[in-house]
Amino acid sequence: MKCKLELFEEHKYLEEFGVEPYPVVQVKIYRSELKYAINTQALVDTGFDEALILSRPLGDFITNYVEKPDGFEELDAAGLGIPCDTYILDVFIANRWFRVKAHLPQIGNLGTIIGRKILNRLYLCLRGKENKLYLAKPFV
Amino acid sequence: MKIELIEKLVKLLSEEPKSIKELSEELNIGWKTCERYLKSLKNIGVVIEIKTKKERLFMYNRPRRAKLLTVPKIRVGTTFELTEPPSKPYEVEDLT
Repeated sequence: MKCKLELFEEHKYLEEFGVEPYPVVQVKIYRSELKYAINTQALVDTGFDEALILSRPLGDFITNYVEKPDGFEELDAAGLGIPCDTYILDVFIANRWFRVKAHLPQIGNLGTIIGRKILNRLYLCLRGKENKLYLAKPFV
Repeated sequence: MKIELIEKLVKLLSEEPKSIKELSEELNIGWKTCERYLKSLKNIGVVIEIKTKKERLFMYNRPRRAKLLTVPKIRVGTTFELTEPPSKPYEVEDLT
């Protein structure tokens, strides 16, 4: 079996003491009410059904500009419901913009997590052994 | 009762509440048969019946919740930097 993908953007795994290295990607987040676009890192989590979870600091920043959430949903984390406000945001990754429903937990901080709703639209090449992750596209 | 039929019925109801007429048409089964299935599913608590003025709607009893399979130990993206907003209108793929 041969892989016919062309790698075009390199991202990395972060390393911390006591935690197995984890893949992160750089994303840009934007919504018209924000005066700025936001560059941040997101944990690549194929175990997350939805598109994006916002970290607490990121959520706090966005709520300064966006008056009220667009909705409310509970996330199911191993059977426990995590109440979340939802915001419609544009996310830039792999040279594409996606409009997604982002979840901001009402309490606590889960960090910024990118889930399958976006990941399943992309080609990702995980090279864990090299602590590198690549965005890819099919060879033409 | 056919298991495949029950699975399809529950799947349809997990998407949105539906009437017996809609379900029987989508599943290509008779109205009476469909009602019988729904009654059984209602009895064991899988579906809920909602009565409106015009019709009876059936709804899956457990609204879908997006799953986060594990809560990560680490916290990514707690810092961020602000950049210029996109200058031009851009093409967006809507995943909402």
